Amino acid sequence: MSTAKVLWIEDNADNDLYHLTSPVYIDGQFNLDIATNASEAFYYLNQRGYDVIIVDIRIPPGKDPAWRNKHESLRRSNNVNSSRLGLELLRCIFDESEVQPTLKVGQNLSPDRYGIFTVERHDELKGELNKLKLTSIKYQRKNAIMPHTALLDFIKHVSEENGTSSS
Amino acid sequence: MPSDHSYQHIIDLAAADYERYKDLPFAVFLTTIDGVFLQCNEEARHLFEFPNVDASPANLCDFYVYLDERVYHISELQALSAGAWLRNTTLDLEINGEIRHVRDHSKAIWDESGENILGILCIMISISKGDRYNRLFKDVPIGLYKVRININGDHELVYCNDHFAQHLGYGSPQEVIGRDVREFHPSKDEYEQFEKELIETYERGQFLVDHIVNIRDKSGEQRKLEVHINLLKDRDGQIIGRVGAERDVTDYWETKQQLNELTTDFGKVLHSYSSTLIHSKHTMDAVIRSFVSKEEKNPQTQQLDEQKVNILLQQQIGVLLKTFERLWTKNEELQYFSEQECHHMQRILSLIARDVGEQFNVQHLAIVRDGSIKIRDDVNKIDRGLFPKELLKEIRQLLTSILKLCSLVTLSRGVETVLEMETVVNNLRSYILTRVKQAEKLEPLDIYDIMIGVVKNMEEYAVKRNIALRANLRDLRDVQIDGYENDLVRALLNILHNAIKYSWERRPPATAFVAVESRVDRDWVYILIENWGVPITNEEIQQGLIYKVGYRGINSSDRRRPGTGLGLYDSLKVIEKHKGEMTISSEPSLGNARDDYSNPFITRVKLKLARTKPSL
Repeated sequence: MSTAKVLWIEDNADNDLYHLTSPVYIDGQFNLDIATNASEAFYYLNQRGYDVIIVDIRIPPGKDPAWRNKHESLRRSNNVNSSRLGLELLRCIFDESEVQPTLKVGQNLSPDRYGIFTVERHDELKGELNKLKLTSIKYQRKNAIMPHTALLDFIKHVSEENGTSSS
Repeated sequence: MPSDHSYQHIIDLAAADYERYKDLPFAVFLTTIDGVFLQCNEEARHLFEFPNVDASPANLCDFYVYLDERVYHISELQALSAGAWLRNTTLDLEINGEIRHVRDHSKAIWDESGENILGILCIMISISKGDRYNRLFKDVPIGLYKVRININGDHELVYCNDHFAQHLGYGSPQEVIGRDVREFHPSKDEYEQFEKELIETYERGQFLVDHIVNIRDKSGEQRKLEVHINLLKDRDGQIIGRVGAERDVTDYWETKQQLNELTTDFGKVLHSYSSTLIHSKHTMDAVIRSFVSKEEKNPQTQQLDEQKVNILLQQQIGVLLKTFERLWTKNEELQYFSEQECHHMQRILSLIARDVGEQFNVQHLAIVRDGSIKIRDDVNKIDRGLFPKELLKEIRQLLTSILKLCSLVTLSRGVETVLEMETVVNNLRSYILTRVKQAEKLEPLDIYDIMIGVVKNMEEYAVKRNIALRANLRDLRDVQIDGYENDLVRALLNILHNAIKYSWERRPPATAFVAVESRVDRDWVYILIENWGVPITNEEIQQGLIYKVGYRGINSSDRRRPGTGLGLYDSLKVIEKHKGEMTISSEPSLGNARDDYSNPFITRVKLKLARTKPSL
C-alpha cells in the first residue's frame, strides 16, 4: 500500500496538539511531515510534493529573515494578519496580484490539495480566502470537542476530495 | 448707551469718525470728557469685559490705575489742534482685577466753538501679555474661559474662546459670554461640590487639574468636561472669579469607562480560567495519586518518578514484543490473522517499540498509547478458544499496564502544562487588573521577604520541571527598598518563571538548576537570576525585541513553552518604575558558537534596585 504524503503546518503539532498526530501514524495511510512555522512550511513546499497540505492560520514566522521581516512589518502596521502568517503563506502561493513566487514544486500549487485547520471561524477568514479565490478550500475548525482523530479525518477528507486517497 | 441730549450731541459730532473706525480690529469707543462711555465696538466690549451690549454706566476713569494719567491725557489733547490725533499714549488699566497695559490713540471731540472738548474718541489696543495670549488662545484647540463673580454674585462668563462656546453648544463666544456658568451644571448640589473641591484645592496651594465635571449644554445634552482651573482673587483675597481650560471628554470618557469595565470583566474571566486550571491540576493530581504505585514514585518527593516509569515502560514493551512472537507463531498454525492484518499490527508494534531505551517524549507516549489501544481492540476481537487463554490474558495485562504507565506520564506532563499556563494566566490577570486598580503606594519593602516569597511560589513548578532552585539571598536580610509590592512581586515572578520555563532539563541523576543570587552595597540591591537553557539571540537583546509587547522569542516555543509575550515587557516597566535597571545577557554555555543551539545558553537577568535611604 503506497502512502500519501501530507504536510501539516502547525506550530503546536509537537506540543498541545501532539495527540492528533498519533492516529495518523497508527493508521499508516499517510506519511506525515510537520512544519511548525512559515519558514519551515515554505521550505518544505519548495522541496517536496504533497498530496495533502493542512495549514493552520496562526503560525509564527520561523527563522527565515524574509518571513521575520514580513511578520515584523505587519506587526508594526498593527495588521491583524501579523499573527496569521498561515494566511500570508496562502497569499504568497495563490495571490495572483503579487509576483508569483512560484513554488518550485508545481504539485503544491493545486488549491484542492490544501485544507485549513484552525481555531478561527470560517467567516473570519472568508473575505481573505475569497480574495485569493480559495472559496472552496476545505476547512475544519480546531476546538476542544473535536475527536482525537480530527486531523486524520480531515486529511482523509481532503485526500478523498482531491483524488489522492489510496483507499 | 446714554440717551441724554448732551450725550447725543457728542455722538453726532463724533459720528463720522466713529463710523470710519468702528470696524477696525481694535477697541474703538467714544466717551464724554468725564469718561462716560457713549459708544463702543465689539472689540472694546471685549477689552473692558462688558457683558452686555449696553456699556452704561461704565466710566473709563474707573479703569485707570493712575487717575492723574487721565488728567495729563486730556491736557495733551487740549494742546493739539482740532482734528489732530494724540498717538501712542500708553496707559495702565485695571479691568476685573487684572492690570492691562494698553496703547491708545485719541482724538478730541470739540464743540462748535472749538474751545471746549466735549468727548474723546479712542482707538485702543491692549499690549499686555495677557491680551496677546488671548488672541493666541483663540486658535488653541481646547476650551479657554474666564468667569467673574459680579456684584450680584453671578458667576458671569466674561471671556471664552470658540472651542469653549462650542462645547456648551453655542455657535460663538458672543452667544454665551455674559451667562451665569452655574446654569450649565446639572444641579445645584453638583455645582457646590465642584466649587468646594475648587476652593479646597486652591487652599492647598494647587490648581484643580484633570477634574471631570458634568455639564448640560445648550440643548440639554449631558457632556463631560475635563477642566484645569485656577481661582482669581482680588487684592483683599476675595474670590472674584476663575480662569480655566477644558476639553470635552464625553466620548473618550465613555470609551474609557467601557474599556475599564471590559478590562475588569476580562480580569474576571482570567480569574475564572485560573480557578479552572487549579481544578484541572488537582483532578489530574488525584488521578495520579490513585494509580501510582510505590515502585513508580520518587521516595523523597513521593511524586511520580518519570525516570522509573520510563524504565518500567521499556520493560513492559519488551515483554509485549516477546509475547507477540508467541502469538505470531500460533497464528501461523491457526491462520486467524491475514497477512495484511499481521503486517498492520506488526507495524504498530514497531512504532510502539521505536526509541525504546530512550527517554520517552510526549509524542512517542501518544503513539504508544494509541497503538496499544488499537492492538487491544484487535486482540479483544479474537474469537474465544482459538488462541491459548493465558497468552491472550498476558497480552491484555501487558497492554493495560503499558496504558497505565503512559497515562501516568501523560497526566504528569499535563500537570506541568497546567502549572505553566496557570502562572501565565495569573500574571496576565495581574497585569491587566493593575491597569484598572488604584495606583499602589510607594512604601518600604523588605526585599528579602519578597524574594523568599517569590522563590517559594515557584518551587512546585520547578520541581515539576525537574529544575532545582538555588537561592542565595543572605545578603538581602534586613534590606529595604522603596517599592510597589504587587508590581514588584509580579515582575520577579515573571523573571523567575521564565528562568525555570526556559531551562533545559537534564537527564537524571543530574539536575538542571536556576540560580538566584544577591548582593548589596550602600545604595543598591543587586539580584541575579541565571538559567541554562533556551538561547536568546544577540539580535533580540540588542534590538530590545524581547521587551516588546506580544513578542515571543525566536526559540521560545522550544520544547513546549506557553507564554503571552508580556512578561519581560511588564518586568522592565516595573523595574523602571522603581528607577532601577534590568539587563539581560544570553551566552553559549560550553564554548559553542553563538548560532549553535545544540548546547544550552546561560541567560542572566540582572536587576539593580535602589535601597531605601536611611532617614536622617
